[in-house]
Amino acid sequence: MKSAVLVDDEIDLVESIQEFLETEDIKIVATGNNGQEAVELCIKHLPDFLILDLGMPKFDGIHALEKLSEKNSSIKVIIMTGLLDEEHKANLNRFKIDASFTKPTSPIAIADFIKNN
Amino acid sequence: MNSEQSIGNFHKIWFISLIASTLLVILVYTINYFYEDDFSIFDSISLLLYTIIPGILVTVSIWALRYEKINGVPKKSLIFLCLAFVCWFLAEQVWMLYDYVFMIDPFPSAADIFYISAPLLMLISLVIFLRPLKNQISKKSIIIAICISFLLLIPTVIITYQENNDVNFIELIIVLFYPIVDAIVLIPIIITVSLLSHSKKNLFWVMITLGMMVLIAADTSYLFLELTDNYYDNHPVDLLWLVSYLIWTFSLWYGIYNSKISSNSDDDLKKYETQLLGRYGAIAFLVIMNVTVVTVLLSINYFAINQYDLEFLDFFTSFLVMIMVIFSILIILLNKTMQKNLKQQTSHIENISNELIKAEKFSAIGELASRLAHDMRNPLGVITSSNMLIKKNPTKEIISKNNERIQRSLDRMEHQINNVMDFVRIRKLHLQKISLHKLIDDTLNSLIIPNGITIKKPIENPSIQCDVEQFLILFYNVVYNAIQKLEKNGGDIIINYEQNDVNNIIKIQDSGEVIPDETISKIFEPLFTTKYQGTGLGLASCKQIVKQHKGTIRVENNPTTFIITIPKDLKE
Repeated sequence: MKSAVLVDDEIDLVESIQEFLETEDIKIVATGNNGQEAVELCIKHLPDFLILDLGMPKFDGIHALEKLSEKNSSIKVIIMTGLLDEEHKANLNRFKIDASFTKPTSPIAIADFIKNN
Repeated sequence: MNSEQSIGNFHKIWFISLIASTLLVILVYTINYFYEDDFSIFDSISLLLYTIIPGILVTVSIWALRYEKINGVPKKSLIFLCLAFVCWFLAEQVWMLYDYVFMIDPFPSAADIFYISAPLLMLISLVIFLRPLKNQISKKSIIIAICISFLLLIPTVIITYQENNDVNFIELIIVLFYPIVDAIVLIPIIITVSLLSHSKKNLFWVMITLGMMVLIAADTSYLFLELTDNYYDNHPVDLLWLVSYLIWTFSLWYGIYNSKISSNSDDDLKKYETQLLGRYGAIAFLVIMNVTVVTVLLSINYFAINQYDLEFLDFFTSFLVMIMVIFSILIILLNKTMQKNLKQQTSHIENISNELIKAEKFSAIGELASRLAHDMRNPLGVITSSNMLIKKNPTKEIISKNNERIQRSLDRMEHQINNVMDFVRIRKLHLQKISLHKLIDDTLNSLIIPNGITIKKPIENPSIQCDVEQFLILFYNVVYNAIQKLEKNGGDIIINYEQNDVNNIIKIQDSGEVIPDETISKIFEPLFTTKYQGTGLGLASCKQIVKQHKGTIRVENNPTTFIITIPKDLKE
């Protein structure tokens, strides 16, 4: 069973996607609400995937990506964001991103990607 | 009285005082010549003028130094100007001491040191002023300045040299110093005048350069009078020095007033300064110049019959008329260029402002649209995944749980749309009385209060006069923000009521995290948000509503408390 850490500041979204992915036999080992938590949870649980929102208060998704790339993490990253503008795209080019989805993201698409990778 | 009126009044008083004091000094001098006594009362008055006028100049310049900043005048530049004025004051005092107390006329004397130092200090001051503006100075104006300076320098130096070839070397050097220093100072003066006529309109520097031009005219006239042995104490040419001291005093007064005006009056001041320069600048300059020169000529002519060599008088009169004509033409030309540039610049600035306003509007609309799009995507995401969960496993429990999520998301979307509409729509106030408890209850009924958050109402239940619909939006936004802060860990929201003679004060306090210092001042600005969700219009709407009620809203930390103050006696 593949495992994932899910991080988004929208609590309802985290819960609903978590519940859906679990019905698809993907284990959500932990959930968080900001970039700092994403880093801590990835180090603690070493999941196969990190499903990450970009715009979050205090520590955003870019912060998490920076910290994880410093640690040479091999966790596959799935970005799930409300707005992917030019600035964000340019920022993301610095990191290895395995997939990116624009909200409203279909949880089926995320599940399919995880299963096939 | 508004700031525009007060600036206008200041300019009137300033202008009238300048003209009145100049005319007064001229009057004292003119009357003086009708008395043939050796030492008349007017002699003593004119004597006093040499202490009083430079004395006032020094006092005002020291007063000006107290101000941290005088618009358009670098501090260092002002210091050197003041030193120059102090030198002129000392020079006048030393001169008087020799003339009236010791009854001697030594040359060279201590007065000469001060007389020569003063224009040099003025030169340094002008250079400091001009240095940061060097990019705006055209080569053409530098060449013209040097040419005019040479025009003054060459004849004066030649005549001085010829007339003094019998004196010793040191004396000759000192005598030659005067025309040389004056000619050098004339260069930055002409550059400054040309600069002021193009872009940097600043009445302070216009007056300073005007004063210096009058002083150079005085120095040159004095030189010719001295060379032909026609100078005597209280000669009409002295008037020119006094006029330049007066002009400088008024320029400093103007600078001081300028620095006192608060920054929001800057635009008014600039408008009046430009208007004043455009309308009266050239006229004032010409009036002062011409009145002074004509008075000097009349006085000399009056005395010429008795004392003067008529040949010299012809030469002197034509010299003064020539200076007068040159200055007048120069000023008229400069004024025309200035007016033309002013018109061009005004229309250019208007165009730029319009473009900026448009760009700002588009940028705000773009920002808001992007926020709304981002904010809608999150609840839409919740609705999408909840819907899929229901489709996949439509048990009663799953349906009920996901329906709640969908409802919350729909509420969120409605809230975002309302936020925008509340901010954009400006409505007339419809005041009515409502009890505070009713207001709070109605607000809470429209909100979903998560478990773990408790809301405490005040014990007091006063009747409050307000626009109920608007106040519900106000309370909704403040309480909604507090709920969002407490959503994760729970906490208390406490609503308190206080009053004084004139105001109702409502305090909404939450036990959530404090607002960081760097954001607290921006919290009521439109489009400002620290949340990654939200339009940034909620609290801006609150401020707008409270302002419409002639009240205030502010926020304090430890604990976070929004304080709304509304006058009790409100009228629509």
